[in-house]
Amino acid sequence: MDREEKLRVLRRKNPFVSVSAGDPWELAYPDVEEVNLEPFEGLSALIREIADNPGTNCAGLVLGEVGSGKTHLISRLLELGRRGDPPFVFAYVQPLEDPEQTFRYLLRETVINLCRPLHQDQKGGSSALDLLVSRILVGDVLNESVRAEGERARKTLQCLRRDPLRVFSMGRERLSRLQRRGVAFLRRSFGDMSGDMARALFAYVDPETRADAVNWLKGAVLDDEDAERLRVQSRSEYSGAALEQEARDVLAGLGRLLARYRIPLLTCFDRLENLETPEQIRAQGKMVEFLVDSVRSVLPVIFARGLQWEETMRDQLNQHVVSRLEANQFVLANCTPEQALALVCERLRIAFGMKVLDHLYPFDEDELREVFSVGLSPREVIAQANRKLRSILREEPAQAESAEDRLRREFKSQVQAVRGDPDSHPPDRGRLRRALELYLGNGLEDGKAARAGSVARPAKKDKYVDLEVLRSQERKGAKGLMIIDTELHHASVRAALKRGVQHLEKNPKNFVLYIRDSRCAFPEPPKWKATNEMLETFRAKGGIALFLDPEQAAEWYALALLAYAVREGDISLPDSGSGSRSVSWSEFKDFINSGLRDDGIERVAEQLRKLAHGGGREIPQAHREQGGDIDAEQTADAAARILRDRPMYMASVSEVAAELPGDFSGRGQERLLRILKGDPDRFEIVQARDASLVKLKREWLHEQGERV
Amino acid sequence: MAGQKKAGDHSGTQDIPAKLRERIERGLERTERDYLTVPQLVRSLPKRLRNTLGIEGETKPGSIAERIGPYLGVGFRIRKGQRSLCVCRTISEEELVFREAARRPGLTSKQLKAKLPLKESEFLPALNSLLQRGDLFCTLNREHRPLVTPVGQPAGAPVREEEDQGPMTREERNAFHKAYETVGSGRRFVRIHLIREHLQWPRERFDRILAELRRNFEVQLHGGDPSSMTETEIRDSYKDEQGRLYIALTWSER
Repeated sequence: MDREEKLRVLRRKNPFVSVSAGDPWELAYPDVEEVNLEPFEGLSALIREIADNPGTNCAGLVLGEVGSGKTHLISRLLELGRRGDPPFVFAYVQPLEDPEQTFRYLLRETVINLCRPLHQDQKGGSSALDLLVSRILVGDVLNESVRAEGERARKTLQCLRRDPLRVFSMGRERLSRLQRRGVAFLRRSFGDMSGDMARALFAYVDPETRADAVNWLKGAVLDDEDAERLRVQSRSEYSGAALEQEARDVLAGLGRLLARYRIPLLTCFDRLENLETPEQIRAQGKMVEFLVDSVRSVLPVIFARGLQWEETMRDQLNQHVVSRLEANQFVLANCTPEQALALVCERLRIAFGMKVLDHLYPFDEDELREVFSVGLSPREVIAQANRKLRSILREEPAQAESAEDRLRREFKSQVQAVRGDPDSHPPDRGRLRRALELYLGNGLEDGKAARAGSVARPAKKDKYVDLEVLRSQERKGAKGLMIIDTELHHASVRAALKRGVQHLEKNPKNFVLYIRDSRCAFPEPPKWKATNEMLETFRAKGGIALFLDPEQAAEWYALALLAYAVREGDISLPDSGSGSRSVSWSEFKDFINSGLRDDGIERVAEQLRKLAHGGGREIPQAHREQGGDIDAEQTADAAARILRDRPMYMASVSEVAAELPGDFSGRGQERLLRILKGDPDRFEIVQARDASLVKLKREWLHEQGERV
Repeated sequence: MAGQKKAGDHSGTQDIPAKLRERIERGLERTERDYLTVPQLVRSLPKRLRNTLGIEGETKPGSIAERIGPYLGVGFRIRKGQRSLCVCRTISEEELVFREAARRPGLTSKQLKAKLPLKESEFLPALNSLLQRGDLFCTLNREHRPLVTPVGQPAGAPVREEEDQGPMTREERNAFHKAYETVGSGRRFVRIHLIREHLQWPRERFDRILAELRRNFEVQLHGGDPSSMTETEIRDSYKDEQGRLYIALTWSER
């Protein structure tokens, strides 16, 4: 490749544009072994130690400031596990939101990670849990069962030993025959493993019950019907403490299995800047302590900023945990000039598609060496190379991308990531609460905030209530509640709705928003009869129920994850002076305030504004004006979205009118009715005795490719 | 957060420590020493500051020392000198001896002692310890008197002028490291503004030493999150030539 060609390649695609490692599951940029070699080798040695001696009690601590390569180091370790040197599995755990559910969160995140494909490029490929279950079956259960069978069975077993994952392609009947033996084997070999856990593990083998089995392993409270199908005890009567204890037991059980089959689990806790309260920090400590002391074959590693660890976290943790972590502490180092040059060289090599690159053209090596002589962090190295390259290519110093645009781009990409991999982002009350809090705390302009009053977590502990909307100016004495619910058991759902009903009965001016990720099923009658009746009562009393469809929910989760990334300093912008800088928290708040206008989360604020203003009947002037511009098609689309969340896809026209943006109250209802009648393919109008009801047609939903 | 100050609280007596330390630093630079006698210091104080401290023409050095003592911070302390009380940098006796010997190589041990606010019982063990460790060495003059010189400087070499633009001296490096350890109290990530505050060096000198330590890979600088810091703390952190802000440093072990 000649020099001109190289310049053409670099003009087409600048390899130094991005300075963030991004998703730890993908090694996005070429690796330079020498950079942070010591932490990498230190952690690899600990993993090997755990592979050889699963009972070793140890933990790791990696300290590094913004841009020092924490996420890249995680990706590199993950890659090491994929190469099988040594073979180990991996869990990436983001910050905990709810300290009351410490162990349920740890279990859920662990199982979610174990269910991810082992190789990023194989969508639907085998997961770590597949690997573990196949080892149980091939290594022990089948091993025992073939003793009594013939030569053919022994040959099959030999084949399976070479590739245990093929066990899943055995016939369903054969597998179900193994189930009883498998459960007996687990109970016999792991005396303190519960029968329920053993049954859930073998229910995992059957594609019919796999989803429920995974939910059970994640610690979820299954509906009675699903629990019965798995033949496990229902958790619906368990207290919070009992659920926490069960989560601990399942984690310990997983540890014993991992130890038996010599599969170490590396659990990385990252983005801990987002732990805001002492309770959250202590809960983080409890997780590490438990993994070290009670779960075999697991290596917990905390990735934190140095200052945060030493000034904030360290003093709030049990000294036992601190000493465990600091026994294997690694500080990420800045690059020596040689390492920095190697980083630049690697990115150039990949851009040119060459196997070996001898020189750094178009850079002047001496000049770069001088720039790097002060010891820059990996992120600073890339940012400096980007700046130099731009000046060589005579490009503008930096693209004029504003913080808001950058955040919007990141938000969209995060939304896509969540939508593309919903299993890794299951219904999560804590993250929904975080998103709502961020949005309502920062997204309401002054005037609107005054109408809505202040939004805060409940002053007194309340099992069901996530946020309280306090006195608004117009409705003094009124109090709003936000109830976020991701429970799967009907009794828990009913209790949450009942809490809303009680609040509405207390003061007619009060208001309640019940928000549910619609992936948590809410079966229609005749199932969940009493719960459906409670929902009707709730609505009749003026409560509003929002069922977030997966697309809307993705935006909520993306907002919470984006907040984690901003706090970590992981979203960077080119900077004319220093090369790159992290987007600040105040810029993030500005983005929420002005950047989320058209996104699904806006719907909650809209509801809140209406409720705060007048029980959903009055709409602020600004929106009344906007309403005039909304054309019939937009109105029909919005009505369809509202109806999609309703049982039977049906609601009264007045109810739909109240939820729509724009003025559809009073006479506006007639206009709405005309619009709905004008779209007979989509809507069916049912004239009831005292109201017009509108129903979204199932056929239309089918046509949209939705399962009904 | 450790050492955090609220912006905008500089009024009345709250200004005293900063102003006093600034005057002391200026005096030390002018005299090229690590101490000032109390009368020397008082002469250099502006009238307003003297009045605020309650120092009048007839106030005795002992009383003056008592009044200024609480405002000196961790960077300075009162020592008893040859003829008067002195305000001296908070550094060890050994360091005081070494720094003075480096500034004025070729003095006899008696001359050296006369230039320091140290008692005999403090001076001799410090000097002997430096000689034993090989940080200083002695040559004998024609009268067979020992002349004290730091290792690395030729005996009888002229006193080196301390220039702000010159390379970092060994004592500067040691002082910086000691400040890092003192302020950090066992931590690895130490805030730069706290070290700056502790050392009380002129800004240019501090920045020059820090840049050199960084270039030698003796320290690593870290960005971090300045959002919870006050304006003063950010200003007292460190910006390099490229405008990158660093708020913490770690001492390298390589």
